[in-house]
Amino acid sequence: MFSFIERIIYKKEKEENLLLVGEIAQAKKSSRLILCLLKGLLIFIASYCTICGLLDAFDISFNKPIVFAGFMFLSLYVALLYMNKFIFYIFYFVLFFGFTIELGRYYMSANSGFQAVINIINNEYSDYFSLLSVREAQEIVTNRFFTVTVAALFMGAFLAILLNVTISGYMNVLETILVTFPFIEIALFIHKTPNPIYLFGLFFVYVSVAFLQFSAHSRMQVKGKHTHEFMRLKTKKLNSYSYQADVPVFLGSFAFSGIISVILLSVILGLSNLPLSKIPGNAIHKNTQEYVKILVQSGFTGFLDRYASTGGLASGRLGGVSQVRPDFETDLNVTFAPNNYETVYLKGFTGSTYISSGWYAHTEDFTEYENTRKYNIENTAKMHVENIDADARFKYIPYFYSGEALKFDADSQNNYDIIYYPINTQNDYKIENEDELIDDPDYKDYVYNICLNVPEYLKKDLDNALLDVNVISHEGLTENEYRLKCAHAIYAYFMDGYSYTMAPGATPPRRDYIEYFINTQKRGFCAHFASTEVMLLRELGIPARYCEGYSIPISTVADNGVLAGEKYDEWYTGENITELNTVITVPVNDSRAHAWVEIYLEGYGFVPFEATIPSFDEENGSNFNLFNFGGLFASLTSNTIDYENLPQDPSADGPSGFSLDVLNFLNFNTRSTSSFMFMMLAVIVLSLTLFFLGKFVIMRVRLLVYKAKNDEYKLVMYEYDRLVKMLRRKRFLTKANPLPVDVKKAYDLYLASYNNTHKKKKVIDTDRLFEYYERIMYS
Amino acid sequence: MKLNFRILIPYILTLALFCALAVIYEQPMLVLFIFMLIIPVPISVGVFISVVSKYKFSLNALSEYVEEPNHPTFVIKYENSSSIGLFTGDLEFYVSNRYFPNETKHVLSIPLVRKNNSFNIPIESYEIGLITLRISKLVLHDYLSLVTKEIDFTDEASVPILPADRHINDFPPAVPKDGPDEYTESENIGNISSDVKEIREYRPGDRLQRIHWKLSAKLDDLFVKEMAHTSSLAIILLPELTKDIIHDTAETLLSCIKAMNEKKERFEVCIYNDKLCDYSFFTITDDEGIVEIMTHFYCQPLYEGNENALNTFTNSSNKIATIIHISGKKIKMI
Repeated sequence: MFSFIERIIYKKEKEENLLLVGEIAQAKKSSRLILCLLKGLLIFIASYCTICGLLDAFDISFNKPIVFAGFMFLSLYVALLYMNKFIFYIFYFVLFFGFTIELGRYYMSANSGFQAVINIINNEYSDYFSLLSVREAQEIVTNRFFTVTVAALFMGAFLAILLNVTISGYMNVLETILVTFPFIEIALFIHKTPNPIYLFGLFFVYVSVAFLQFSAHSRMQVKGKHTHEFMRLKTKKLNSYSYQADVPVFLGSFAFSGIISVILLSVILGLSNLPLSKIPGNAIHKNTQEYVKILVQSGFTGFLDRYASTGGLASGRLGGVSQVRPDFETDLNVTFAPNNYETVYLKGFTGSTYISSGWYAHTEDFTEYENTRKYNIENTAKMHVENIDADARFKYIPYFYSGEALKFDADSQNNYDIIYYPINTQNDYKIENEDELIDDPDYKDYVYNICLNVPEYLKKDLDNALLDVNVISHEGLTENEYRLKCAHAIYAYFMDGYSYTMAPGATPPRRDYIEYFINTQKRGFCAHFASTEVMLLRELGIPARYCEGYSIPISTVADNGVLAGEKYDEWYTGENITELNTVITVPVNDSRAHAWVEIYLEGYGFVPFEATIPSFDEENGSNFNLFNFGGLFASLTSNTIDYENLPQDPSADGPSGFSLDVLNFLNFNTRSTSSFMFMMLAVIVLSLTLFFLGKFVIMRVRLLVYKAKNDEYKLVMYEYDRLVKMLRRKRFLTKANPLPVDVKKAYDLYLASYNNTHKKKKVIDTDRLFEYYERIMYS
Repeated sequence: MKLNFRILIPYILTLALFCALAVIYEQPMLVLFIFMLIIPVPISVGVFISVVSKYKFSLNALSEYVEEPNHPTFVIKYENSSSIGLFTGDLEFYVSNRYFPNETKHVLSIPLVRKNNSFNIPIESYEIGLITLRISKLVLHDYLSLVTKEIDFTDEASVPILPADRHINDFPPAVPKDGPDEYTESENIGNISSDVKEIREYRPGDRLQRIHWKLSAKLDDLFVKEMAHTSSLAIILLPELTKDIIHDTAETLLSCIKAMNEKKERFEVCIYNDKLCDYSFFTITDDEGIVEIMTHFYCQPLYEGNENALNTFTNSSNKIATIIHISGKKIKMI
């Protein structure tokens, strides 16, 4: 007999065909409990082999007995949720509540364990790819044996819930592989193989799930939630019925997949000794490895960058990179004779016009004109630039370039000699120079119009920012001094309210780069500071522009420079305030790519100014009060775990392997244990109350609607359904598909039994009652 | 045996994908997936070929007939003589009431892992009639559903749903005195050949006694003898198969038959076939006969008119009898 709701659903079919196929039943059927346990076994094997396989591949220690027991419990728990509707709704809620509470309690440990795993994996990847830098997440709790175990339990719980959907719910092999195999692939990608037993387990699950999926007798919907023994699917002209799950099908699948997995295991052992090259042999593999490098170095945010140049020069493009990611490979080899301690700037790109999120060169190129400037500087120097991997569109020229033509090497247009006039200190700018170039009206227009141009929409934000900049008075200062002091004042303003980071995040697509930096972001790298300072200077009426190139601080010269073996006199003449009288070749990598400001100083033209503030380590650890909602759940989410006395990795003490230190592991000094137990009990009681209350209310509302509509059929069906359920519950009715005559017999029996045992008799004319029922139901 | 391309094509594509990935990424472990996809195929197909012919299927009705409001149930059984079972078989069947035919296809997917099992298919009918379950196709699958084989198992089973009994007042009516009151089966008792009007093919509802077994055995098909009644009965029940009131007509007919049968009245039932403009007569002596006549009644085509059977009978029959014309709940004696 169909349930009350199903009758309504199939009423249409009944009206059309005047008959329906009822609830199909088979003589030999499977027990739901065994089916749930078998599915739980699959979930356990999949989740345990996935997490432990990953940890094993990277030789990460953890408490295996605890993880084994925890995974087994969680897997069986989630699988048994499919027993029936009541268990499903109540205990799913309990699971999520418990998971959240426990995550809150052990958040610090779980987070540290997760970070420990990430750090270990990152280090292995870094070694594999020979990366010079690697991200290192902070581990608050340093006992990795403990934290990794906790993290593994939480990851296992999460994985078990997902696998319960893919295995118990849908029995889909592709989904199961997608949920589990990426964990193992993390290890396999860099040719780290977990213990074959874990791979055996995974393949066993995959093959079993594949067989079960294709068998069509594996999906076991929650009993009472949707359907009955055979699952019905109704399309327009086709009704299909599939037996949902059968124990022998499961056992058959397990037997076959066991055989296949053994064969695969032998293949695994054979393949594990294959010599493999780390060097990718094709473009797809190479590209993938580049993406993996981005992931290892920058995390997922690295993929959000809107252009590829995340190291080196960005050619004026701004805001599309969430994080600067230098590859630390040499871009330039620069040979020169250092004469002071100032940073040497090699300019490549000059941006004069700012449009929203980028700097653009002026349409008329004044570079040649600016190169004709005569400086009153007595130092003369030669520099040789060898472009190895820098952007070849630009020539990298130091300041105070003599204007002499570049002397290219015979074999390459990327390598050249430059003659320039280096100043010794910035104080040299005080020396008055006659500014002949500014007499040219076009150039004057460029300097005092184009290089003072500020977009209208930015003016208000810039003016607001300038309110916080110390006011510089013209009084007693030359124009050049005033301009430099203003630049320094803005630099001081940055020092006060801004911070340097290589990973500030990308600018949102509809926000202006500088406006977002001033108003919201307040953290960034050189391009942020240089762009903003240029605009602030322009707003103050000081001609300025944006530059990109390479900076070579004296520290880089000292650390990386090698003697070029050249005669000093041929490379430099003039005053040398350093004690180095030698020619040095400095390899400049893309971490030295830089953006800075050029300020127009009369007599000197555009001179470099460093706008970027130094980096201070501002990360002081995370605040772990994430789950502490104003102390509401303080007792639940806080714990006082004595991290010092937690069980350590036993393998560290000797070759004894792991110990079954379960009691010690569970015996945390947690003041919240009683609170937790109380809360869990309260949640279960609350869930039960809500469940029954909700059910009662829904039924009452339905009845009211039926009564209001005078829907006799539905009212009778409701009463009849209740009667059938009551008789089943009291075991007077056991037949699978009872007909009204069976129900009547059972009801008569029940009434006789009731009247025998109770003083107050129930007198019901069942003949009339069932005659009425049948008349309504079959009319 | 057929290849199941709906599964096979994605299977091959997945295999190709893993091959490509293994080549591109030089990952030995991806080769395992290739093996994982290849190894089960010969196992699955090999077992299928050796086992598929060892299944036997049968279809039966659980009861010969049911009374309203009970529902008929059909039973499909299988037996597997092999020690290994298959995971699934798709049984395609149609269920219909002869009065209200519909072409909805039903596909029942059943597990075939056990040595034997049976599946009860209850049909909930909300009208009287002859409920027929016809198996049109049975397809067995290998474990991965890459290969299928259609088994030669087409069968049909029918169960009539009899209407509920209804008490009819003043029935059977008194037969007029001047009418014939004697029943003689034949004026020439013993001479069988003279009784047989014609021999025709078996139709559902025909009595087993009328099957011409010798001829049926010779021609390998069932044939029945149409008797030539030279004499007339006292009463002939003549139901109209009017579509809109068929339920009431059947209910009245069955009630009349039962009432007459209880009172040991001699009577005949004339069932009219509107398409052939022909009618057949049935005499009833026991409950089996009631089922037989009702089955025959359910097999006739329905029509719109209210007196088609009566008109045809009065115009063509030479029987002299009291006709009780049944149309819906109305009983009219002619």
